[in-house]
Amino acid sequence: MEELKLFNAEYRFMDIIWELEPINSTELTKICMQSLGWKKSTTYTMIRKLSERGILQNEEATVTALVKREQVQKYESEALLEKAFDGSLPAFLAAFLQDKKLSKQEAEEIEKMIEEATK
Amino acid sequence: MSSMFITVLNMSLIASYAALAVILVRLLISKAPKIYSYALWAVVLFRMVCPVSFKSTISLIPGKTDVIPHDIVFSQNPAIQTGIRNIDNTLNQSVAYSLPPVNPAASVNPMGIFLEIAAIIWLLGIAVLLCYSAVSYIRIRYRLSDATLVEDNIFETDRVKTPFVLGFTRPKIYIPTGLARNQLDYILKHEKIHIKHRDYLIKPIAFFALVLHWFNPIMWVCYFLMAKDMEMSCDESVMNQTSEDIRANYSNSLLLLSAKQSGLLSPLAFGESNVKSRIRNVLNYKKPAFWITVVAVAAVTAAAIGLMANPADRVVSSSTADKLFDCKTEYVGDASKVGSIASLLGYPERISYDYIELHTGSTPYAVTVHLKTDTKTKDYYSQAAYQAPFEKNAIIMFSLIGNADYINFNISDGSSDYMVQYSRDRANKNMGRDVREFAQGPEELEQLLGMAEHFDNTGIGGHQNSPGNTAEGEIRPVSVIIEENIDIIMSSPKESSNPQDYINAHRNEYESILKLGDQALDYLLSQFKKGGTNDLRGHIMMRLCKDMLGDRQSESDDTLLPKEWYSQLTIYEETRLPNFDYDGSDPIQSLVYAIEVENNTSSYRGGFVVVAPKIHAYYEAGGMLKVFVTTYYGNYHLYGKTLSPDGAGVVPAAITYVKDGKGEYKLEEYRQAMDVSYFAKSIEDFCTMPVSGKKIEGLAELILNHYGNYDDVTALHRENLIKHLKANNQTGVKYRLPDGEVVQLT
Repeated sequence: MEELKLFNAEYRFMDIIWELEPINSTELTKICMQSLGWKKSTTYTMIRKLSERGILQNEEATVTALVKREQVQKYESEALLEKAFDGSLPAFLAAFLQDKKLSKQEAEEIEKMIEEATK
Repeated sequence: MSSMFITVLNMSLIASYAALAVILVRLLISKAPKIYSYALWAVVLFRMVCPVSFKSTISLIPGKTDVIPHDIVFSQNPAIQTGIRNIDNTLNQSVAYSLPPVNPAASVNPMGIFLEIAAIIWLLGIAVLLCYSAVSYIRIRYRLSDATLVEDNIFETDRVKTPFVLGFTRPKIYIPTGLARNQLDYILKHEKIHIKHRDYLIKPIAFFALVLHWFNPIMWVCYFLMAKDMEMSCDESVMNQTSEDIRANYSNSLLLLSAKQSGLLSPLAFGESNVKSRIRNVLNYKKPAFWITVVAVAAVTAAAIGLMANPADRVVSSSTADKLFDCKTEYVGDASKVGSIASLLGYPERISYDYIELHTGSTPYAVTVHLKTDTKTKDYYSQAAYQAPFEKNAIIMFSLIGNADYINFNISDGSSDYMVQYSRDRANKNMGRDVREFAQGPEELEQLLGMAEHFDNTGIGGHQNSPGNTAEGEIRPVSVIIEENIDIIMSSPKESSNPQDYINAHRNEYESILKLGDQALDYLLSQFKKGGTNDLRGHIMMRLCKDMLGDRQSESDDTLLPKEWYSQLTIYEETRLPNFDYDGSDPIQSLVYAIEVENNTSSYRGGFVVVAPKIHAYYEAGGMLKVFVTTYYGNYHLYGKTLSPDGAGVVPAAITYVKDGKGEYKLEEYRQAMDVSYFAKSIEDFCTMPVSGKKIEGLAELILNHYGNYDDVTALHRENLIKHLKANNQTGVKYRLPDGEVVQLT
């Protein structure tokens, strides 16, 4: 079976389902609010998105997983970052605060600076 | 809309001043904790959003806060006044070059159109930035919706890679997933301090202010520096909260996070890398020495107050017309208004207003404005060719003071005076109409000021043809000016043989010489002493001398030729006499005489004063004495045996005295009747009891009736004058009436 990649939030959500399935969707929103800090709408959106991808199913308000824990792996964070972060307000504000990526050489220089200062 | 834009432009300019000052102070206190640098930006923010402030003389803001006047659209020559002359010149030159001249007939003017367009661009820019921010905000909110709770208000998500705080009411900390526990510690401390400092609110506020000023690059720099100070101050707080030395670990966390960052988000590559300077600041951090804190607090306080305050008002030329208009009066006797007018007028450099003297006793009514200066300046302005500034002021005064017949400017250098006199007739003639028409409203007055300004350059009343009208600042000998003027007088009309015709044809030149006073007289007499001539020149010079000498000269035959006239001429030195001294025993009379003599003594006229008061009534109450009098005063010069009158009048007055500590009455108030239509009213007004201020029935009528026939004070005056002359051993003194009849006094 093809390996499925999940975002961190999706993985944490699935964790709850694997643990408690089959679970009533209303019950699930309550648990997600408590353990993940999610709003009801966030949980329902997540259920819809994951069922579209065939990862879980929601029938008569009962949610069950369609894939096993072993079939899934977490997305590598790095791959996501570029895509996830474009055009956000904090990013826009941060544009003047955070500057271009440090070059390797610069990073090494700073490392040396830290070492020397705290010897 | 363009008015709002001008307000923002003005704020932007002032904020830029403040910003440059803050950047400077920031450099000075770079060793102090960054919280002080951070706090300083509040001043710039204040200037960016608040168009008004309190006024103070300690303001560090140069010039006016309304650099760009709101009526720039309507002005014929748009001009910007930053208060800094060089900048103004450059700016206004570019304004002048970039705009075609305003055609007053055209309904729109180019400055207006230009501003309208600029305002639209400005609003569009704001709209674009706000839309972009709003969309970005909504997108990030959406992305963060499935961030998972870690604890309290901390959420984790793999869709961000830098920790940050977001939210306005209940801010949450968002952290990327997969941070090592030890790093997380420092990061969370840092973000929590941001929340404690309310930075999550300050930053958006600063951003909205920046959006308002998006066209000003200095404001963008400020925003960048402010954010940097914010972060550094936050870093310092983290270290302050921790007792052990966490500098190395903390720095490594910063480095690690920044190394993960992408370069996508940074349109500004700004000098030294930000992380590097932050890390350097962390590594160099020491708990601040007490004195550094003291210095920093002092610098921040001083800068904040100085930059928040607007400069205190100086006299602003644009509102001079309004101020002058407020002082408009019908009567020379209205001392406070006339005084305000005289003090508001602009005088040439090195000349300052001293005080006014009002001649309200009888017509002609006159105001003498006493001015102070140095000898060199006085001599300079003694030349008719340079007196345009005074004539300009005289015209303004004639327009504002309804019944003034003459305006005199007395320029004193402390030891001697020069006086120049202007008449209403001359002012009206120069302006081509009754100058009072200019005082109908502030706008008309403004117009007059503008026109008068123009005269400054050309000279008025024929001065443009006067010799001696050379480059300003040059002081030329009196002799040169006299000779040039005489040459002009002699130039026409050639066909006449009567010297008077030549003088009549060049009245201004003739008067220009007369105005030079004793300096001119000395020169002309020296010419006769050298021999003199009986030609036209000699005749003109003789007439000048005769006019200037007046009663000082011995009587002469009008048919004499100039050389003969000079040889027979005797010039009497003025016999200096004291003022009249009351020698009676009546204490009330004695008090009244003393005050009347004092009040009618004129510093510039010289000579001596004789007064004759008629006391109508007096009242004593509660340590006060109020005396109602009508006084005939006269000012005289004595040349040889000839008495020369120089000002006289009969004026009713109310004099109030108050008992001092020794039980003697001292002058408290001196109120004279005012002129013409106010005359009766002003007398009624002052006919009140001392202390209670209750009206005294019948007194005003008594004074007014007496004024209908004041032969008694005329007789008393003559009596006092003769008594005074005799007391000073002056016998054989005569007095020449205006019709030529000679009256023997002693």
